[in-house]
Amino acid sequence: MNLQSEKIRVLQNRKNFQMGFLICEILILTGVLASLTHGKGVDWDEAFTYKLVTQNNLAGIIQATASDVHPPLYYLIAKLFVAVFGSKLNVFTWVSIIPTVFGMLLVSVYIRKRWGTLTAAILIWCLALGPYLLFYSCEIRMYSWMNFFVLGALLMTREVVEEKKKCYWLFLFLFSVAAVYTQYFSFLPLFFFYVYIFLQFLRSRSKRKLLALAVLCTADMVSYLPWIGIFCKQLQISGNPVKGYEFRFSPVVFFEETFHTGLEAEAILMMVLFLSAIIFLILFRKKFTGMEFSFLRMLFLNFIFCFFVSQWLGSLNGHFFSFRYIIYCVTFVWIVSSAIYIRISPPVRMSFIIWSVILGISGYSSVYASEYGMNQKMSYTEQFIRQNVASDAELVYNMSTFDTLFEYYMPGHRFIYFDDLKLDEMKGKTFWFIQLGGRDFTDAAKQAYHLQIEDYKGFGYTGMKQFELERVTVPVS
Amino acid sequence: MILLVLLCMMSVWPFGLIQSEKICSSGDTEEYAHTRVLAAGSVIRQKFTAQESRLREVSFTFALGTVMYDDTSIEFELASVSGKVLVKKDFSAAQLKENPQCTVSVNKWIHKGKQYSFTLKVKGNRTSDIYLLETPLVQNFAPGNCGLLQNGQTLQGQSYAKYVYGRPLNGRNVIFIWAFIGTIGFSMAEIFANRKKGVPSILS
Repeated sequence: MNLQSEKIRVLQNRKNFQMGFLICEILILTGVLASLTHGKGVDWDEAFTYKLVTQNNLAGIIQATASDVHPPLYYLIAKLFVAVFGSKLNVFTWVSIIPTVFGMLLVSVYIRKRWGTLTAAILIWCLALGPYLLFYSCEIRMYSWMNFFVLGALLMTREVVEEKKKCYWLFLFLFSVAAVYTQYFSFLPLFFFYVYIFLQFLRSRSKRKLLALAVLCTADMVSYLPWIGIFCKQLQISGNPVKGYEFRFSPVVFFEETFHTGLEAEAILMMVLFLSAIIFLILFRKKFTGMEFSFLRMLFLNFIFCFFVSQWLGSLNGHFFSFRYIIYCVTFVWIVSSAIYIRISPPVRMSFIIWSVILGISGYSSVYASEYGMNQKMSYTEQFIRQNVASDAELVYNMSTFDTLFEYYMPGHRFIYFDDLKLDEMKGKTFWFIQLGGRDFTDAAKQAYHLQIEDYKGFGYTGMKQFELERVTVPVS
Repeated sequence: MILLVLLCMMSVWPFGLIQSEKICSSGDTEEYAHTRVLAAGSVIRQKFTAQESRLREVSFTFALGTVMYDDTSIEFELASVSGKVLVKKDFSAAQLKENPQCTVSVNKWIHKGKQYSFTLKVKGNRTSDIYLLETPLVQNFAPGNCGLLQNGQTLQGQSYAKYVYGRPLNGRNVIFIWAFIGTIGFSMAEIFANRKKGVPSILS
């Protein structure tokens, strides 16, 4: 009896130690993420988020997102944070970091429970510092939230299949609803999870569980109902596919975009590693339980399904498709790879850990450079604008919709789109011209209006792309 | 199998068979110039100092006028300072008309820091309107370019050129690729070890 209790105590101590180790890792990585919250620049999308959240109340946000391509949950969460902590840029960055921290906590509990501490530790590292995932953990957008909700639903999928606790059903429901209300493309992996659960229950011939699944699906559908009409309307507005849009079907492009940190051939190597993992899963079939095997197989097939179907859906409407809409596929790649390689043998485990650590460090350096690389120049430009651009100055911009971005940097100014500019009305006035590619005054216009253009090259922000300032004077005659 | 994995790792370092790319090219500027017309039989030579120990390719660009005879061709020759020819290639008039930017694949081990040169000999009976593009400003010289001569006479600028070198990977990249080889290689080694031991797997 004593021996038995001693054994339990040792096991409990080991479990506590492992959990403590993972918590320490999460705390350290949260600190690392915090080091990326002092950037000064925003890109177009971030400026859009900032504007939508700061200039609307909750009802206004719902109304505004009803005519946008993304659902409202993320903006509502951001609004709550802004209401409590203020509207500084780093508050917004924290709103994106928090789901990553939540995701790491979920991994520390559920991945550790199913796949062991080492797999959990590696996954926590990759969730925080993995290329692309790290970038979107600091981007003022909804993608880190989407990734967290899909990850939560994924982990709950396994719990629902293996455990009897009802709370897992509730969590699965909540994650599923939240994911779709954060980003529409979350629907794809969720659909696959539900099919997987259905097939598992069908195999076990459990009528009760199948009934529970039917109830869950109904609850999900009912919760989506309020937004389905809006979604259909958005699809209609979005219209036909954009002409000239390149339909990017290649997985190589996906890996090149999502695993890019500046290391040699990293994207191709990651792709080979991921595909090899599946081959090794089959070859080392005996090292995995039946449930582990089917779960990893489901994740791999889910990756393939989401990768192709999302692009196909993306090509059906007018809004462009980006791989960030399926950011969860990157998480799938990491889960499949780490779960398999950590299990094979100690040398493989060690090699894979080194691989992931280097990729994480490299990912951090590249995101650090992109966050802070232009800070000095931007401070310089901000000072220039404060000193030279009067608060009632008119600014002309030549890239459609980019007033959204410029308004963030120069609030309160009047922005005029190049196509709407009437030089006749500007006679005797001086205005600023923000050059960001796009159109410029023709030689004929310059001659006809005797435009006096002063080039302020060197002053500009980065964001989407660096722009340049010119001061244009239109003489009276 | 383990030996094979280690051999693959050694091919990355110390053998350095996998290298990263280093591009040394002329500055991207609108202020280009060109040499005097390359008359039939004339020779133009660009000297350069090797920036790395593996040269993958060399590019240079011609400017073409209106007169271009079909029998005109350019012979490219890359040689070391001692005169040892490393690569030879001919460009026909048709090729030049289609794309005046010429790229020669070299893929040779060279000595970093030593001087090499590429020579362009104009062949044909008549003189076509053909010039070599050059960069007159020092800040736009391709790194390594150290002397442009037309028929033995030194010109002020340097050719508008691009050299693609292979350079050894840095420590981080070496360990990164080692880790990749280790992950795949040791997994395969495990399969072979299992087969030897008779451990049941899908293979057996």
